[in-house]
Amino acid sequence: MVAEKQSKFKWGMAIDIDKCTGCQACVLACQAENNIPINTEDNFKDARGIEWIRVERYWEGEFPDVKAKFIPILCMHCDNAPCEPVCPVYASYHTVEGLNVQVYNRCVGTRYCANGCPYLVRFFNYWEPEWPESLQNQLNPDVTVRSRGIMEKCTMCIQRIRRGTRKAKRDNNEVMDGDISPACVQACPTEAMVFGNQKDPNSKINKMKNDKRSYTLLDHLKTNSNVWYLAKIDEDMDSHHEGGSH
Amino acid sequence: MPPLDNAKNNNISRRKFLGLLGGSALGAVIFEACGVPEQEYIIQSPVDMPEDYVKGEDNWYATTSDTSEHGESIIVRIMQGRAKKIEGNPDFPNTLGKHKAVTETEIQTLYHPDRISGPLYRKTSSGNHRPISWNEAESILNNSLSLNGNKSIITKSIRGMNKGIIDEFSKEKGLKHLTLSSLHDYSMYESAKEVFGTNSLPYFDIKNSDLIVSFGLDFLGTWGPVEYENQFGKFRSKEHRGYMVQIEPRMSLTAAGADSWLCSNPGREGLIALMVADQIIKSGKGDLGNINKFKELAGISDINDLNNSSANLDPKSVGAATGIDYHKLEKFVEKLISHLESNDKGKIIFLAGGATSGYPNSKSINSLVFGLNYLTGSVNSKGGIVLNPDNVFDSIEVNGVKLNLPVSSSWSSMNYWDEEIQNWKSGKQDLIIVRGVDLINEIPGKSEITEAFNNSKISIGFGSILNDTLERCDLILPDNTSMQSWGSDIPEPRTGYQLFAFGQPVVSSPYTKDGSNKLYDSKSFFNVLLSQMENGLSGVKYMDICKELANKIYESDSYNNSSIVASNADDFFKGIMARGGWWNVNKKSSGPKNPKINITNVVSDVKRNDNDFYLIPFKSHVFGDGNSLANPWAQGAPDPLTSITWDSWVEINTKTAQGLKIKPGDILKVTSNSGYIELPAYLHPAVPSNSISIPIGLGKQNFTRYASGRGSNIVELIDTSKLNEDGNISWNSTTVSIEKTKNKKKVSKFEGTVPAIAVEPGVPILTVGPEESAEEGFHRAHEEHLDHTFGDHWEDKKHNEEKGH
Amino acid sequence: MKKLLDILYAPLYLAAWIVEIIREKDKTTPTWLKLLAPVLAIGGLGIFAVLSFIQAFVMTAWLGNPMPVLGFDQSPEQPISFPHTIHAGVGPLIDSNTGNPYVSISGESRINDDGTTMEGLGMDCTYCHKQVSEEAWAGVPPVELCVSCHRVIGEQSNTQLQTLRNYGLYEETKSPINWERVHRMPDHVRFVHAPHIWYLTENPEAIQNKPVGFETLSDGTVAISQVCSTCHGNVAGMEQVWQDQPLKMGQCVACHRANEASVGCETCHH
Repeated sequence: MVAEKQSKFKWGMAIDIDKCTGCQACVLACQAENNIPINTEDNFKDARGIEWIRVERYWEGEFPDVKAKFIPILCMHCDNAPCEPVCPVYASYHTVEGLNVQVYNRCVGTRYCANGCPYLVRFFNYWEPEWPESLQNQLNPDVTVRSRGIMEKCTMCIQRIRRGTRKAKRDNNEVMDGDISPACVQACPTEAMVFGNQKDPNSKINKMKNDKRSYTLLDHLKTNSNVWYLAKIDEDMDSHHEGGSH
Repeated sequence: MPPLDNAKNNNISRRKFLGLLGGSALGAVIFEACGVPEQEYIIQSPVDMPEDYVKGEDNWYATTSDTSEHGESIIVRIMQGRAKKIEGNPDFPNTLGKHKAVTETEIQTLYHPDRISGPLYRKTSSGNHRPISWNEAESILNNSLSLNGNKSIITKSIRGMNKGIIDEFSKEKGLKHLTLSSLHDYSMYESAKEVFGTNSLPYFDIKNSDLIVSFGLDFLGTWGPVEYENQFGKFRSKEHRGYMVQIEPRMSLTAAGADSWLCSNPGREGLIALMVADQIIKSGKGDLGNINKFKELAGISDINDLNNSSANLDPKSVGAATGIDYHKLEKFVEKLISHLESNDKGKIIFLAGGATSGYPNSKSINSLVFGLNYLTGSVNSKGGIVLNPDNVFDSIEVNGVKLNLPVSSSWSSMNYWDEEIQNWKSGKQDLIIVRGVDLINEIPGKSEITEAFNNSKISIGFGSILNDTLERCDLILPDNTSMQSWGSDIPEPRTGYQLFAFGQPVVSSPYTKDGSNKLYDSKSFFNVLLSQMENGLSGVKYMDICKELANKIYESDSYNNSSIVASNADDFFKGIMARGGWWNVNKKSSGPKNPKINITNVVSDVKRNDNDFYLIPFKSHVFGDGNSLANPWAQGAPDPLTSITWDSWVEINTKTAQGLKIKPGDILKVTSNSGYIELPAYLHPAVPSNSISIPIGLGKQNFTRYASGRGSNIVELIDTSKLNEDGNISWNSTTVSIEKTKNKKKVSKFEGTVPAIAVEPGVPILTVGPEESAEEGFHRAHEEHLDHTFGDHWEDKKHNEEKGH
Repeated sequence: MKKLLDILYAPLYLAAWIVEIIREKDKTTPTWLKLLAPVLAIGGLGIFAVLSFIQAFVMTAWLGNPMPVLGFDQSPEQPISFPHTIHAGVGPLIDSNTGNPYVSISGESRINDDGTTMEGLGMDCTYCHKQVSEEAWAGVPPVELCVSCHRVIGEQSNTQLQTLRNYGLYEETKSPINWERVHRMPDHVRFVHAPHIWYLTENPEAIQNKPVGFETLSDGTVAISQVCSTCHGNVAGMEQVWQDQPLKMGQCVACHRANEASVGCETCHH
């Protein structure tokens, strides 16, 4: 905890659901950046697809007043992460910069963490990830290829964070807001996702997390999530609903 | 999926090693000590990128995108000569650093395991292809070009220099150029050009608009440069949050993202547009000059002159005629009028396209909707329709040959195609060259097309990946992807000023893992064509023409105050390559030239028997027209609305399906006049009870290990008997009957694989009113949930409980 | 001494014992029973030998690089035997261990025709490994860089150079060289060269295994090529490169601690 206070960074993300169109650009950007195995047809049928970030779609209402609402869900990098205390080998680890990362070398595949995670954002490699030879050219050498029997999850693109911080350090610069962005944030066409340093008072993420529309998922579990959502706006919401009185 | 190649370079993995040693401490020790390597993916560079020598950093290079029909610019991360990741070009006006999901998959085309490795040839149409050398291939091409009969070249729709080269090539060799793409919006392009009196599609200033009324245009989904999505984000986060209304018969991504979706019966949207015009005029809030301008352009004295239906133009009658609850229409009109009253009059924008291009009266309806922009004064103004100026020049001269640079996409109507196919059938066709188009699967009437195609004396296909059409070509020539070749484009729509996009080869051909062989021996399509030319272009490479174009821009007036400052033409060219293109924001359009609103037939009726359904085909956002489906990422990314992967499906209204005893995954037989297909049902709450929707692009027989034989091809159902006003297929005018078969299928989809992380039971996503905070939203959601659960007794119960305490 | 000899001669004693048992005329006990004791003894010895070998392997692997058996070769053969000695070596190419000139892979001593010892070219490491100060990996240059010199330098008769020219010069035979990797990281570890180079060039006191002729620049920093030896040893003295340092996690962490660098797991494991 002391080290955490000393660190210059505490990373976080905010997602404005009002701007999310559900386009899946973040999902594919993440797969390309992080060497995520190809999700085959059978993977989806067995509910074993690996998507570090996923876009969930919910229907509300009935035709013709039906609405489709989208929410991208990724690891919340909880300050009080339920996945961490359950790991017998300390593979689920909290960094001083506020990220929850999986130390693949320690992981022995008990899958306790995945059972502990209320957001279901941890994925187990049930099979050895394999690519045809030519497609291996695309694999990102900044990120390891996880092997069978290992739990994996969103790292907030730690390789990009480390690249950004070390370049800033070399040039004696401060890391500016927006310098570092994970693949999903970078790709998001509508800029619904924002990534940044919560310790920087002027950062966009701080503005967004203090917005009146901001909330965190499963707040009642007190996981102290580091991913904030900005509620969807319905301009046509019946006026008698407003203020919560009924 | 067939088993993937065992790609492991190394004999033993860490986990296997630990496993062999029983996971014991000894195992861990030995492992720790020896550093048994993991699958080795960091292989050394086969390439000589000059910047790799000099700078030694991994670089992002700009080039053009293959999957985009709008000339989007991408940047590619290159490490040691290999492409690692695609992102949108942050510098370029029509991408702004963002990219669509499908763009990412281009990298898998580049490194596709089933990419064509070299030229293939067969002597007879029944024989097998055998590999030949490029020299042989080019001499066959040369011989075929000198044949005397009919010759045609078929591409996707193209513009700019590419079109110029093809035209010049066709002129010299006596070829006919045809273009093809499924579910296209050309009708919209043509109407927009006519209505706004401009020679290319105008730019829609979504960001600065306050109210968007889109008649079917899916600009958040499958149509438009990614910049429009970016603009939509800004449209939403402005101080006055923009409001969007989408009017179309199927819920597209744009309809899902809109504040209000008005689901009209197919072909009846025109009535709503007329109602809008009528109401604006009647309200007296519209600017009189604008109203007169609209009437003048449309050549009418009264709006009712345009109404060819029996319905009146009040919301009630229009509601009855379009199948929309009239309260919604009244609310919509109210919204419109209140926006007109506000001071920012130019900030209502009316868009057409998508669904409206698929009706028999496509031209009338698109023209009417675009014409509405005159009524609100949104033409060539901020927050409205921004016209594009002429580009720097409409032709350039290279070695004495004049190359046209058309700013708008060329397209061939179905009329033209019908004629062409009759030609093929008659046996007069000597040569068909096809590139980047799977015409056998994209034109309705597969067996007829196949037969006609085989009738040609010789057929030559250019492409990276074998598809059903290429497979039927006698000579197959492997094509470079845009990441391997020089490129040039004039984006359409441009962003309201002069703009060119350029591409460059950013990766070299990949090698096998041991470095001994090139994986793909491909050449650039345009270079192959140019090498066949005999006039001034003979011996000229595509890059030379790009350079020449850059030189001409550098010498022109437009160079001043443009995006690149350079001391000489060479530096200018380098600057263009670094930024992905050139633009001059100061060169804007002066306004419409000879605009016309041609409306003959605002309302059309798609006839439907009582038990039949309207068939609404659509492009899925993640795989578009299906040409990206060879890539496992495109297959494995869930379709945004249905979350289905690796398959095709038919969307049917949940309640209708229940009435017909259809369960999810039941195989339905969908029959139209033209044929039938069978595919699994997806129960969809947002499909109207009178229609069904099916994605286009699947059902290809031979399309790599990932896509062969997946799903069914909806094109076989399309009714081509009635072409629309532009001579194109009316995609949305087919009616079908459905029949449940005995078969069932577990559809591969993402939905249901994770439980909802609900805010409240039944409230998966927190939605707040315009002024509400998240906390208030929670409170309301909670109350609503209790209300819902305990009904009217809740208040009493609470009251009693309070009393009891 | 006598006892030691006894242990060494144990197999002989055993053989003699067995011969004796077989020759023995005693018929009361069956032969197999009589042979049991010596067989067990031989088996035990064998097991002992195997275990000792495994132990030796584990010990060497634990303490340093493992014994070069079972594919754990620390110095793999390269497709082209590129001698770092000639390219990166400085001064006469004399092996400091033996005091004799280096011997090439093919067995020739690095001696000129006139009998003098060859001299190294003293090329800077970063001439070929350019990316090292900017990126994660040091980078092996494309063949084009090799032939930019070897287009002219080197005899026509040299088969190795001829192969190189084929790889780099002619369109028909052009292809990358499939170099064998020498330094390998354990699974799920990402080592990034650049920040190490940045730190070590500015803090020369942290450099270990300092190379011959180590010199500090006037501003207290050192050239990039002076820091490589910390992990790679004296590559300039290797005819065929081997992994000099064990590069164990302990080594990484010790150095990180000593220099107050981050020791969080995510620093390397991602």
